[in-house]
Amino acid sequence: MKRLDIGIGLLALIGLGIAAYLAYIHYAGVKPLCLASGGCETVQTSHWSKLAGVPVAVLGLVGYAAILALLLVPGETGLAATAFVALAGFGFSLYLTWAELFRIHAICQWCVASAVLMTLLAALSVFRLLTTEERGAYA
Amino acid sequence: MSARNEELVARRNRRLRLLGIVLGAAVLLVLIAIAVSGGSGSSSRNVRGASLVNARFRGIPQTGITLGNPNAPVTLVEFADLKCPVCRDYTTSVFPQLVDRYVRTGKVRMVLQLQHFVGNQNGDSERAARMGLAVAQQNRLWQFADLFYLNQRDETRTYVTDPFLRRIAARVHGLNVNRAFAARNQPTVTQALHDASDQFKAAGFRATPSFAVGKSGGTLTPLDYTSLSLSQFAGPIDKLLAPGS
Repeated sequence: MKRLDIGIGLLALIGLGIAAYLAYIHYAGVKPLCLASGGCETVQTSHWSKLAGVPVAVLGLVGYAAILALLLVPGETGLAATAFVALAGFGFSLYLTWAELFRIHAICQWCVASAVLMTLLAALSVFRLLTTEERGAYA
Repeated sequence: MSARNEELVARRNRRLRLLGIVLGAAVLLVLIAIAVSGGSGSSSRNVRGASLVNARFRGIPQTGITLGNPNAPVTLVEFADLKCPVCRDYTTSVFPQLVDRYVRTGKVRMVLQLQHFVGNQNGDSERAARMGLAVAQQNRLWQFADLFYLNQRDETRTYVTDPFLRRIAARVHGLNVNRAFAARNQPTVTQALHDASDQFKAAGFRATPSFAVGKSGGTLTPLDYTSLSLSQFAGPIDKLLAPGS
């Protein structure tokens, strides 16, 4: 496995941990650990925390797990699919960050951390798509 | 150009095309997700007026049940019930004009004393008032009340359920809904509910909405109105604001 793959894998693992924690918070109904006063809980209990009835944390969980799984898919299909999931995750993170700032008026550090991870994952996976050679070596 | 270079250029072009497709598909997926969320969310999509209400109170200070400049020269107390249809009519007609003319300009501070006797079958009105007072602990009572009125239903029916309250509360910007729910039965909320009721009775009011107005810190007197028009409220307020009054 190449260093770029390992880097993406590590970032996705961290993201998976954050998403799993937020999903647990959602279903257990407990308060999230939060540095700011109540910002995380405000975001977590807002109507923005769900998409068509599915908690956004669960969507994040699926996204990070998909990135990890797609790293194992060989060839351009795997490269493109990883970039697709990471870019979609990045776009949705942008939307949620906008909602936190301008609609919910509260910031959840866990969500910000996830957004940063998705941004890094999108950049790295695009770089990986453009530079990885067919047989797996980097240009 | 060597065969190796040609291969690299061809690959790069192919990958760029692939990236374009991937990027387009990702943008499409995000747009669909935003559309599915209704640009907002799911469970509270059917709450009316959230944007309007949140914009109405933006930038106006709020402390507990009080709206506006704490040092405003005039105080207007409103005794209202969230299930009262006339209170809703006042809130949707006169109230926004009063806010723009007097509260936003720092001349008047408003106090909302929630009552709980209109349509209180099965404790419906009390549930609404308790939630309002719990929300007041986070200084967002006025947005909550306004939004409640915009989504008010037939007063003779029981509809103030937890899901209904959660839908309304979830649309109030910056409100920690769980914390508000947890605070509803706190002794402080119960005490505030009783205080509001006692003040209503002590002033001799019998129906909602009723109003008392006066110089801040001084004695307030009932504001009698015969119709829900701005002049009925602006007249007494302007008198109190007049120099030398």
